[in-house]
Amino acid sequence: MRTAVITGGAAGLGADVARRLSESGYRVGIFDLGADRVAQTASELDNAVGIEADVTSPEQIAAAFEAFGETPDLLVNNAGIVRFGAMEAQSARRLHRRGQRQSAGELLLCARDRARHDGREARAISSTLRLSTAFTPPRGSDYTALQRQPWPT
Amino acid sequence: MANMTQAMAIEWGPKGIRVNAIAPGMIDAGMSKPIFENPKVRAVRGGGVPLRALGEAADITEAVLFLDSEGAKYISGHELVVDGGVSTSVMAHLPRE
Repeated sequence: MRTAVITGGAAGLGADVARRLSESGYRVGIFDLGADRVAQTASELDNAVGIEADVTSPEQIAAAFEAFGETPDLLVNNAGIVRFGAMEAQSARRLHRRGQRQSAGELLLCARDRARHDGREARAISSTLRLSTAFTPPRGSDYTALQRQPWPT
Repeated sequence: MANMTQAMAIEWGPKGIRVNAIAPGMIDAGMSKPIFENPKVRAVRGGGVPLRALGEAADITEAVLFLDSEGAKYISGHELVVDGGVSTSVMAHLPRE
């Protein structure tokens, strides 16, 4: 059985991906915030385990992989957060927090996962970027600032 | 994150790890779903996509499965845009004069 870990997999698009992976025969690890939500989503899927973890915390990432119990074949870095507002209304702290969630969080996860891959067979890592098509400046400038491409309308 | 994907693909490729990114466009799921519940927004945004539709969650999940499949065994460091062509259609939306 192939195995997959998906971050932010308890709700939204991440939950859709988790469901599809489960239906395709993967054993799925759902890493996300909110213990109740994580447990609920995992309970609805076959061969899924829900583990509460903040992807910006190296300690929590390490503990989550330990709890999952095996090296996943597929790691899907899906976790992200969104805030609205113009650039002028943003605080450096908030932008940093978002960047940390989406970039540093990804790197921490991959680095942790990679360390477990040494000497093993091929694995795959997929990350979800967001084209900021749904959220446009100025209302969505904070969102746009950390995505791949702003989409003017 | 696109650059990070490439850096990780280069660094970890020799270890047999492929690293790719998926770039969704306007997907009627997850955090975007409440926005597209407005019929007007749905019509305008969906109509502006070259394929004339919003994407579905399945469009992203199938991309994930493909990148983890044997068929993608030689694909690494790639950013797979799943957006119905919208992100490359800017010129189609600009007035000529």
